[in-house]
Amino acid sequence: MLDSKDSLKNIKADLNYSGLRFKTGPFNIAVTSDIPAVAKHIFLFYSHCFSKTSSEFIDLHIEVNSVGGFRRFYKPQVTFVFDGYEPFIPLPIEQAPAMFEWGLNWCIANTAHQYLIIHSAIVEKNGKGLILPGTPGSGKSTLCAALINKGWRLLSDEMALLSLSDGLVYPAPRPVSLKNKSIQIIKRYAPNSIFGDVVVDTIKGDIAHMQAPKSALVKQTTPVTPAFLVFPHYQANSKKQFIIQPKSRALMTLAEHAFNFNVLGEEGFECMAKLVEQVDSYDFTYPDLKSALEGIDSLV
Amino acid sequence: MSNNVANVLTVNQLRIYQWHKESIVYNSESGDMHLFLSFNAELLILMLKQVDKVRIILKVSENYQVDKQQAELLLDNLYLEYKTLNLID
Repeated sequence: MLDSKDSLKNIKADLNYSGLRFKTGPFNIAVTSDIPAVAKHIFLFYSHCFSKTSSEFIDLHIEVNSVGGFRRFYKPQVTFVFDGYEPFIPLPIEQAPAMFEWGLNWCIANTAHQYLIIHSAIVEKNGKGLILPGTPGSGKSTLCAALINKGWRLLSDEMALLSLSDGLVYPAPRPVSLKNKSIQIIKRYAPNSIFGDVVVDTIKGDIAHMQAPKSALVKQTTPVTPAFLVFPHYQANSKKQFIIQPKSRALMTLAEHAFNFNVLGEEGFECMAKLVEQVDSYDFTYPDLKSALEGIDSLV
Repeated sequence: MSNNVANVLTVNQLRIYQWHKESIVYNSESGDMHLFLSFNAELLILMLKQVDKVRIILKVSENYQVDKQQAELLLDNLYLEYKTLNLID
């Protein structure tokens, strides 16, 4: 938890020299960075989960640093390094906080193969896990942000970590990433939420991160039993409608949303099939946030 | 077979989840996943188990209400499709 030593100044120093350690769900992460905006981002969104011991095994070593050389004087850029490897091309330095989040997603999706990782938001209420897989534009992050301001617990807005060993979904609550119009929609819906700076003109448009609720962070090691699989479809001027999805179709669609299905092979298939057997699956079309929340709340 | 609970079986390298109308066939050698009508998945199982072709033709004929010649044609086409998908040798 945050203590008086965790001032932004100290965080900047840790990031610059020894590296800063924090925990999100089952992952211990060490990050170094020389970029003030990354320090500010980590201070705002991760202060609650800094590791105070240096003895824990680190799962992911990450560096988010400015690119050196002459270029830094006229077009400064940021680079993301994971275990000495650069998976992405450098981005404009203004996008450093977004690159940190995207990079962290990439690291988890490419290394945490003890889980079947589904590209989805995952929230929980009354002990029932709701998985919201979504293609871009489906509104999964917007829905997720609104739900966690309405009594649902955030496990993740980006990936469901379905354990291969026990079939439970494990949380890794981090800031919720919102894009473009969704930023204002959620700021209006939940005016007390804490947002970071808007990062403009990224490859995904304008991005802003919303702080994960404390209730989610307190329970960041408590897994949940999945109960619902809802594929959201935002459609202006449509009618709110749940359509039961046959399990065969749910399984096929889910495979398209699983980051590491091909890596896990048969084990991943079995895990996914068991999930589909266990949950109720729906296609959910909604015209606006209000009706979406009413619809989803009616599930529990 | 109930609408919601799958009948699960393994034949050779294939893992098959059969629901009422549709089935999923997972090929553990290729990692490919296929969606079939459950009746067609059942025919695949019969082919894999090398059940006598005459018996399978009869089953197709009864299910689709077609004569035996048409049923054999349907079955041959299905066999070719399964072969193309590397589900049968």
